[in-house]
Amino acid sequence: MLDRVLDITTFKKTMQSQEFKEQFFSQLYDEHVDRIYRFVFFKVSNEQLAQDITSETFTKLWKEISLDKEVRSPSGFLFRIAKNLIVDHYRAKDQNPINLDNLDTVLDKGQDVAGQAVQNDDMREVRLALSKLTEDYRIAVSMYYIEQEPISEVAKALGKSQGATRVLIHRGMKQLRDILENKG
Amino acid sequence: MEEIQLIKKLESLKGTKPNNEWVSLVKRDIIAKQFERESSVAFNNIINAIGSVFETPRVFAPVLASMLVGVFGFALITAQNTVPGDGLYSLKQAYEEARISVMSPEDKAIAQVEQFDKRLSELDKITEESENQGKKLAAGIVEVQKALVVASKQLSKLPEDQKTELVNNIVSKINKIEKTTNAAIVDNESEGYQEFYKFLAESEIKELEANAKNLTVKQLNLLSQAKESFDISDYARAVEFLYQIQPETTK
Repeated sequence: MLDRVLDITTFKKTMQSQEFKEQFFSQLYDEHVDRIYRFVFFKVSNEQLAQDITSETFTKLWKEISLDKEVRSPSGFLFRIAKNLIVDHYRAKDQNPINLDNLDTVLDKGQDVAGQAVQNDDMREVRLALSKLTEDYRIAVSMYYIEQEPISEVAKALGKSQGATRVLIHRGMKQLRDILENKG
Repeated sequence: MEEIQLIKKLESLKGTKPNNEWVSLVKRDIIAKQFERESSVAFNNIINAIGSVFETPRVFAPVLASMLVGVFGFALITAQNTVPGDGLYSLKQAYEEARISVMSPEDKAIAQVEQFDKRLSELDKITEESENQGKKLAAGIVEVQKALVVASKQLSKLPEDQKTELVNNIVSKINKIEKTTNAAIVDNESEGYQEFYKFLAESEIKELEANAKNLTVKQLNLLSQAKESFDISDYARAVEFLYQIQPETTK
C-alpha cells in the first residue's frame, strides 16, 4: 500500500514539475500551432495580426497548464479561444475583417512563379469566399475540411451538438459554393 | 463547382503555414512567462465544504479546515489520483461529496454529471492498469453505475449551453470504454442510461430534421432509421445511426 501511495505521489510531483509542463505545452504547441495560425489567418487576412492572436491563444493555454488546470480537449480549447480573440479584436476595433491586400502574404515559397500564380488565384478565390461565410459556417467548414478535425472536436469548438455541427458543415459548404459560383 | 473539387481546394489551403522562425521564437517567449496562482480559491472551497458537512458555524470552519488539511493534507492530495479499489479512494469521494454539498442547484447538477464523467475516466484508467485489475474493475463498474443514477436525475437541471457537450463527452466515453473492455459497463435497460441516450438522440434528430433539405439520400435514410429506433425507445441504436451521418469527404 505504501509503495502504491509513493508511486502516486511521485507521479503527481512529475505532473506538477516545471519540466513536465514545458514538455507538455511544447508538444501541444507543435501539434496545433499551424492549424490555429491558419484558422486565424483565413479570417483576419493579416499576417501580423494572425501571429498576435495565435500567440495570445497559446499564452492562454500555457497559463492553464502552468496553474495545473485541467484542459479537457486542447484542440477544442485552442479553437474556442482563437475564435473569441478574433471576435474581441473586431469588436474593439470595429474593423472590416476582409483585407484583400494581404491575401498572398503566406504561400508555399517552393513553387515556380507560374505554378504559384495559378495556386495563388485558386487559393485567393477560396479564401476570400471562406472569409465571407458567416462565423459558424466558416469555423465548421475550415476545421472540418482544412484542418480535418473530427466532428466531435468541431462541435466542442463551436459549443454545439454533433448533429448541429454536421448541419453547419453542409450549409456552410452550400453557401461557399454559392459565393464561388456568383463570384462573391 | 462540384463538391469534390471544392473540398480538394479547401484541403490545399492546409499548405498555408506560419514562418518557422516566428513559431520557435513565440514558443520560447510563452514558456518564459510565469503566472501567479489564485491561492485562496482551493482553501476557501475546503472551508466551505467542511463548514457544511459538519454543520459547523462558518466562523469555526477555517480552524477545522486547517486542522484537517494539516492532518490529512498529504493523504488528501494523494487521494486525488486514486481509483475504486485503492485504499484512499473513500477519502477522495468524501472530499467530492463535501465540495458538492455547498453548491447552488445548477452548479450541483453540473458537478454531479461531471462526477459521472470522472468515474468513467477512472474506469478507463483501470483498464490500462495491470495491478489488481479484476478487483478494481468490479469496484469501478459499481461506482460508475452509482454515479449514473445520480447524474441522470440532474440532466434536466443542466444549463442549456453546457448540456450537449457534457452529455456528448459522457456517451463517447461510455462507447470507448465498452469497446476497450468489450463489455457492457452500464445496464442498457437502466433508466439512467436511457436518459442520457434519449437526450442525445432527441437533440440530434431535432437539429437534423430542421435541416433535412441539406442532407443527401444516404444521410436521410440514416436519419429515418435513427427515428425508427427512437420511436421504439432504442435510444442507443438511434445514436449509432446518427453518428454514421457524416458530411461528404474526398476520403
